[in-house]
Amino acid sequence: MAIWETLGNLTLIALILMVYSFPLYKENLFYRFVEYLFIGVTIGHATVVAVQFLQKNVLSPILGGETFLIGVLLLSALLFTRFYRPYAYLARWPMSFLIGSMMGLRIFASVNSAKRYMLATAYNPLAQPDLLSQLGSVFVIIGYITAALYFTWGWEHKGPLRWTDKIGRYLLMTYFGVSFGSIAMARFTWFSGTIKTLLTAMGLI
Amino acid sequence: MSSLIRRKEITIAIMLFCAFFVFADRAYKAPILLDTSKWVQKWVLAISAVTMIVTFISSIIRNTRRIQTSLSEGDGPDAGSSIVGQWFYYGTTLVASVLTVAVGLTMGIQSNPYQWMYQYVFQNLATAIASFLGLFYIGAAFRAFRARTAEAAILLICGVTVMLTTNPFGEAIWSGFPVIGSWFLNWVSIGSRRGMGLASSVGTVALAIRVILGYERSVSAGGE
Amino acid sequence: MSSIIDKFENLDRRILLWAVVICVTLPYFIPVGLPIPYEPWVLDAIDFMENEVPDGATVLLDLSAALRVITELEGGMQATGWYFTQRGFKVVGTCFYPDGVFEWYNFIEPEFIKAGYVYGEDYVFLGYIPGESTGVDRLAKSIRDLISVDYEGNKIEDLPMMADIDKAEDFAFVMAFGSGWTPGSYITNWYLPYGIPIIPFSHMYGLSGYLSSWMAGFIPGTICGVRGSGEWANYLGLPSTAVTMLDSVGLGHAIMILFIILGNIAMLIEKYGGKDTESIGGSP
Repeated sequence: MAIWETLGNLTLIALILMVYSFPLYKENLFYRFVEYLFIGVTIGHATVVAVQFLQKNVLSPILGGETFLIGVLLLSALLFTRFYRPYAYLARWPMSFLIGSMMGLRIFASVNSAKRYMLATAYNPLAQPDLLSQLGSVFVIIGYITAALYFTWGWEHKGPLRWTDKIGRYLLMTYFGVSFGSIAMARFTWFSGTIKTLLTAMGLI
Repeated sequence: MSSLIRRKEITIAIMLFCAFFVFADRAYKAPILLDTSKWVQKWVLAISAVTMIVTFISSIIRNTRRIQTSLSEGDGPDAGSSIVGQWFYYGTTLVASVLTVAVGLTMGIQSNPYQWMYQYVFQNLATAIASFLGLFYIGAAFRAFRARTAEAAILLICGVTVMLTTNPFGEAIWSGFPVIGSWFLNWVSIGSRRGMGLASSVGTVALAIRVILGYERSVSAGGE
Repeated sequence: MSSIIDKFENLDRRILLWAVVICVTLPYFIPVGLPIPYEPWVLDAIDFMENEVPDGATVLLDLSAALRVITELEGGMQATGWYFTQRGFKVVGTCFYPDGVFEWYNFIEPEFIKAGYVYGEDYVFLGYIPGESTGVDRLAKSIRDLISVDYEGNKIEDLPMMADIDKAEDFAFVMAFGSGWTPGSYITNWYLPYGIPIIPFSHMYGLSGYLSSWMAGFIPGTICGVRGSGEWANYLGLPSTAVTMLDSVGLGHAIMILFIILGNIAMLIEKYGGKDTESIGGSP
């Protein structure tokens, strides 16, 4: 209905202007209102989606006869004991499942990716077609070794290690500069998109 | 009995069990490893979903308490605006979260009211709040990006060159910017990134082992 | 002269921000229309899809991009949905972020419906799966073990398309839209163990990370940010708002770089003019 679309556009314009009132003017009650509103809506949406997942993939199969999943519900229900202090320690059991599983995946992923990237042959200088790429792959090898050494603290960095630290620091700065450039591009794009949404809602474009 | 259940060895045993089977299933192919790993991970997914519900309830309790405190004791000299008290903001979060859940669960995500809220409130707020940090980057970059040392100069040159590479304006100014910027992106920065990744992988493995063995007290004995 | 430099160094941040806002807004009224050259990692991704994936292949489409990056990726999502229908791909959709549900119904499914795709025979949407990396890993092993019904509530085994699809090896490749960890998780859990090609479609910040995977040969290519979306849409001959958005972003960058350069010139003048550089920096 047109009236809901108009109301939606007016809401959208008001909310975006409230958000940008902070950097472009000063902190004010409208900005804080919108900040807290966003937190509330985010929590609400994530909860709705999580409940839907549980309904479809846990509750429906249990009602369909998969009684094994009742154990999941009972274990998950222990999470609610954190609201009652005398039994709050029981909430650690389901959290242990989460943490253990995540740690197992992380250990495997970390070891595997470190091994794979060390063996990647794409950085062989002799295999590169032109001088710039050959020079670049030399930088890759030097950067890899010096940056990894920079973060090892098992022994004091003196003598030749001071030079590897220095080179490692310079090459790390190139990565941080590249990261900054990429983040700035991303943030500007989101900003530009918000401006576009605002101008479209106002009917100016 | 209570002291037996409270022991942190139970949480360590659960973490070890889950971590072992999830890791072993990835590293070695065996039916028993696969079946146990599947069972563990299916339970993990359900527990992840329930943690969101716990977060919601926790947010209701916390915001209600804060509103009560704000109304009964006042906000103090450093809190919020002089026009409204903190209770207004906590109340906003409370009402917004409860309303969203109520509409979503009773009418469904695909219903018109929920889609309206999602499209006109949530989606645009998410983008606007994420993007306004970009404005702060500008202020920070203007104040802090000074080439006083060699490291700062390198960071500045790489950052500016990459910014000019990733949008067509850079190529319009000088055709060499994309060449140099791509070289920084594809070659120079990658080695140090991977080196940092290697160091963080070692740290991650060390931290994971500490957590699994219960040396991280906040995880194995949290809540006491 | 030094008083001008002092005033410049102590410039109110809000003046700079308003200058950026004006520069970002102007191209929407006065388009510049600079051409967008193709980047090699985007060309490689397109080359892979065009030449190494047969028509009618089964593809996993993961929409795990947070809402905050939707302006960068929405053009790319629509272009992807259209392209998949042109190639006759069978598509299984999923997401590990709740926002993916919105993205599916607003950007992907409309393209399928326009092309006459039938739900259950040509495409299926599994919906939101919590659990992050755990979910990605479990999806590779067995879809049926992970979830029993799709997002619409239909049983997986009742969907005709899913009769032969259950694990990673049943897919030709994965197109992973992501704003954080998800495409990387697919590389770890789908490519490294099973060899399934992954094409990360990420926001601009993810580019430097996925470039190292591309250089190492772990992914055929990657499409990142609004520029990647624009290049992808341009290649397919589809209209895209990326051009105007890139003009707007480019002008904003130009102003920011100009102020940084002017600030550094002021610092150098102060430094070699003999003033104490510790006092330079201005008010926060």
